[in-house]
Amino acid sequence: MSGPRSAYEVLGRSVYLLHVDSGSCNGCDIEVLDALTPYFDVERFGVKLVASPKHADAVIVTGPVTRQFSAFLKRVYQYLPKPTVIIACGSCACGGGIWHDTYSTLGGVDKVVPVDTYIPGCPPRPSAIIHGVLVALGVLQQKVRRVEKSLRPSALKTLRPPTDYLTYKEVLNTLKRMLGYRLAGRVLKNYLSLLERGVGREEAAREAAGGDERVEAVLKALKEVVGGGGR
Amino acid sequence: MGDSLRGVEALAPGKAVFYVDREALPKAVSYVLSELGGRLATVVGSDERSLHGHYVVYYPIAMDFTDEFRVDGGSKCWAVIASLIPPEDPSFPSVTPESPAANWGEREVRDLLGLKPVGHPDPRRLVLPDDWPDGLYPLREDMDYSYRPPPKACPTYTFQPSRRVVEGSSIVELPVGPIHPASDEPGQFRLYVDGEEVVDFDYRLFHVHRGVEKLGVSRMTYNQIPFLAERICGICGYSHSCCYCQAVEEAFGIEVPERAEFIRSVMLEIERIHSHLLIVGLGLHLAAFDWGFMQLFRVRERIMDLAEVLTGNRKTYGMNVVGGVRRDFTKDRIAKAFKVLKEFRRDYLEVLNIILSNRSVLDRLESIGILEPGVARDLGVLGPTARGSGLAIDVRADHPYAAYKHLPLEVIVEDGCDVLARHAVRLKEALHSVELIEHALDSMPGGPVLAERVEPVPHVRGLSSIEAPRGETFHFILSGRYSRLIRWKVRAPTYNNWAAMPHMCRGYTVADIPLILTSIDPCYSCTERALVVDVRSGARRLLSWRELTALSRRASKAGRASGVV
Amino acid sequence: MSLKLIVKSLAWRRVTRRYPYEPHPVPEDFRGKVEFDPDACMGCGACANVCPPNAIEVIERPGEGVRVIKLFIGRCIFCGRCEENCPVAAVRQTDEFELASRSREDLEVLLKHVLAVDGEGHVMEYTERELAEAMELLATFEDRELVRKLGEYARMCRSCRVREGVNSIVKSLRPGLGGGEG
Repeated sequence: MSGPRSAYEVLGRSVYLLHVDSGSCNGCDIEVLDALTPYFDVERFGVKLVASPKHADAVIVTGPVTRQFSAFLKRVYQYLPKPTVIIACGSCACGGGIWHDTYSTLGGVDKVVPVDTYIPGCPPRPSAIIHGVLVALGVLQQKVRRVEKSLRPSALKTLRPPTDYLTYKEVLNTLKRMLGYRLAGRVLKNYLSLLERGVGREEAAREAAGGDERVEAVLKALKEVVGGGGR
Repeated sequence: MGDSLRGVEALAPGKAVFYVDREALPKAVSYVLSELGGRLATVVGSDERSLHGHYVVYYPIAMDFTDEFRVDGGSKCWAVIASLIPPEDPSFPSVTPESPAANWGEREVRDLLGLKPVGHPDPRRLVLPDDWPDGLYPLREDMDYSYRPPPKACPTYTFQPSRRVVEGSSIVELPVGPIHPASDEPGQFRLYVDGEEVVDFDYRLFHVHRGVEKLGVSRMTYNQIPFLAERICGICGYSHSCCYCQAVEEAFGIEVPERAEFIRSVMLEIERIHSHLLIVGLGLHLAAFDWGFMQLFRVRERIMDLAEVLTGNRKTYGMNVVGGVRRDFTKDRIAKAFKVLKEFRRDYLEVLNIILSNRSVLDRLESIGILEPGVARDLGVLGPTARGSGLAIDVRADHPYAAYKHLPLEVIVEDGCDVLARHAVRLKEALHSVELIEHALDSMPGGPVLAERVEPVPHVRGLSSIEAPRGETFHFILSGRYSRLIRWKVRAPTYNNWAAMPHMCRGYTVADIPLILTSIDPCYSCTERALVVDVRSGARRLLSWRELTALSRRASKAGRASGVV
Repeated sequence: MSLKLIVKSLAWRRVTRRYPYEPHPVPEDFRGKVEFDPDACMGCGACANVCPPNAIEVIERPGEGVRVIKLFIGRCIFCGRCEENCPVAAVRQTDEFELASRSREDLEVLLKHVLAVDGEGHVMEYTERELAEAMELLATFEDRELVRKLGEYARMCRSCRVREGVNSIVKSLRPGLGGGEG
């Protein structure tokens, strides 16, 4: 991994970027390509894609590094003029992704060459890629920070469902089956808090549904859930 | 042949496995293919020793080239010819000499399972890395999915031109550089040239081999696999996820709610639009028509944003679970989708009209990479590559799945057989997809999005196919116990389409190769340099990717200037 | 021809998003960075169980009496299975997508839970928070006798539970046998 100085400090000028795919599914690659197209246009920042390692200041690598490709990646690294900046783009490049432990991948780019900046995502949005490249250049500050917390048992805020747990689970699972897990979670939370405030079932259903008649009908058909409780 | 039939296993209406003696395989398979009008999807090898003490080799054949075998609902049938292979003698007579479509499938079975296809014309390794030790077969039950043998120096892959080329004048090989500008994905090609004319083409691919199938039957439970399947390919991943879910749902007897089928169909068509616009855009870039490239990407962007609104991510939608989908379309989002589609159609048509009236671009793409219908059929070519040569095969029509039986589907076919015809199929399909999506959203049924009971059933087989943007994607599963699978086979459409590349490249110039390659919409690419060696002068040229693309673009511009290509 | 193209391009105006000078908004239910609610997480590890790339891991340190739930954002595939399966709704996906980091360590989230200890001082196989949550949820059930029994067993470590279970089987087979033997 590079030292604490940013790539921009090291290189002092615009960056020629090489894109290398070490065996990815291409999802990240098409988002890198998208960063070139009119909507995002990474060339505005003086970042140009080049074809040869010999001309590159920085490399953006996608893919988990397959066994077959690792020799090529090492060779590309040898050809790169140093100092260089290596950016790992996507879940596979950062940590091996969903195949981090299979027989024919190596578990991520940093197992083979030193990585300067990690861009998580699967695939990362083109704007996330631009953000990552600018972080690597030292133009922007990164936002994520390590989190390490010791959780006190006494600080726990328990779930406190409004009824017995089994009924609560049944209601939640019905909603998940009808509306998908994400919408079910949101809608149930709103519905329960409305019930807790004393709003009647019909009206709570209508409000929680936010104008979607189908969601409203699903809520109205729910088993009676006692009001009150909930975190 | 009747007495070599050992048994029949029904999988689902219209799908059955016919077990025959190994010796009868070549005759049985070629009979169903040529006499009965079948299309070989792939070859599946499976280690089923824990079930019944044998390995098995399956040849799934879709009865697409005939109207005879249909289920009541109109869907065409599947006949799987299979054979048990004893572990003491892991070999079987190769089907390839009589049915060339089995070529790669049998090589893969040999690589990953160690079952030897006797009489196969190509002894080279296909899938595994060059330094993988001999005798170690990843898909056998005794190999752990994470075992990584130590790396070693190895001989490089031997490229070989076809026999008739070698017999001609002394041809020299040239390794070819990157072909797919979207990803400098590793892969290696050799072009055999005589002057500027390409006389043969060979490839060494599978640098992207990540152990998907093995991972799917080891660490993953059957319900985690849809997420794995979606990452097989970042461009057409959702079709893999749907195909897998369909195979499992059929095997387990799970009925997917109608609303979920409609949602899946909408997302599948959205994926088709973005994929087609991507590859045609790249094709135009290689033909030095960058305006077309940028504009197609511009209009495509709205479709990516729409996917993000509907699923939470621009790509890898994460929508599928076995039994349905895990997120729903709300009323607001459906309204938003209509608005986006209306604007997209208007913008796309504008761009399309300009592209199609640009005579020089059309001239550049016309009459290169010709693929005759007979050859396409014999090689098992799929998708727009086949439909551009007049073959009217489309899984959405032949084996309707998801909500397609309720949608006004049209199979789009062109007769040109060249690069232009294939891209024309894609451009028209993208427009047609907009219609299909609007129809699906309009008639979206209510009800749940997930089946009520989803319970795994041990030791059952299922197969399914889907029309991905590039062609038919095929999945096969054999379930095990405790929520896991014993075998999962994935065959993406590009796998079949590669076989047509040598044929399509012969007789054209080096500058045409990038255009021909993008016309099959390959999922693979390479990063190597191109070494071009001319036979007669002995001169060697090292071409980088930029130089090869530049060759293609220069030829295009020169054509425009002179009026002749 | 080229004049037509220029006129068309001018008509569409500039389409480049001014990111990063302007934010790139996300739609509702965008699948962004996974976050734990530190007051709600009880350390059960259901999220780690279902995570396809093993981005969430459970690290047991019974010697220290601690269980660590570790999320490595680098390997996350943003599928949302953790949010889907958390029994107490302590994990959710946020709108954040600007996750670039100069170091691997900054992509790690570690939550340390205290493992429960039973009456005899043995470290148990679940955390204190899991126990507290379970006891509260049990209290909502109607069968009071069952609740009492389960509550008793829940406060024992595995080996104590096994011992108690064997004792009660022996007692039921040979009524009249003194307690404490078995």
